[in-house]
Amino acid sequence: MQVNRSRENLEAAGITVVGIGFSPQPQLDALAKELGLHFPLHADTARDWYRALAFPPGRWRAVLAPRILRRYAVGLLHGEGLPLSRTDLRQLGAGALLRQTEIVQAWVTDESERRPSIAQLIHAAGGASNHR
Amino acid sequence: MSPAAQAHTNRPPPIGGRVRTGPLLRSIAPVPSTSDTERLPSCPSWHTALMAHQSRPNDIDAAQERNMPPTTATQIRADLWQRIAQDVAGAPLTYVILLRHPG
Repeated sequence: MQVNRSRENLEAAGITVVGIGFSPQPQLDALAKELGLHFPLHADTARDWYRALAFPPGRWRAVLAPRILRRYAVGLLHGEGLPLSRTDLRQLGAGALLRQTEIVQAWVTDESERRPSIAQLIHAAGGASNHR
Repeated sequence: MSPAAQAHTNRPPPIGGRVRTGPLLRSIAPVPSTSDTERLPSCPSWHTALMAHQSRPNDIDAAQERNMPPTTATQIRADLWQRIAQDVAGAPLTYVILLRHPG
């Protein structure tokens, strides 16, 4: 995960990372451990954050892209179940940069694998600093 | 790393693959200053993110009093927000990354 690898750069820009997942906390804890995340993951099974940021659901052509379906197929081969019963398939990645309690900037992806780059985050952080 | 874990990671664009011409990433909110906060409901480019609050202006005041983001005050459970606040205590900026499916 890009933000995990770039922790030092983000910290230098004054950015602390927090992850929000929509799976139950035990699954997120396992995921954080497997990925070796340097930031905490919190469960938001009610998807409060998505509603709060007014992020729309992903388009089906993005959600059911061949590469995503391939991953589900590989997951099934490895004994992993489909996520149908525990999450929203149309939930895409998103993020928001907060300055204390204020939302500085928010991003929602049109494709399931895209997120703001570290450079974009740091640029937004710089903009936020200039507006203090 | 399991496929589920891989699905959460960011990946670079495919090399040699089809060129994507559409916007890959949308930024839906500008960078407002603290002094702009009171004007946010009338800012067109901020409209999307604050859509839910435009019809409930009193919620923004309540959010500021409760030291929570204006857009999330009435929508994020207090216990979840408190856990996040503890993690980022003292940090000037926080990037909240919302994981995507599969969860």
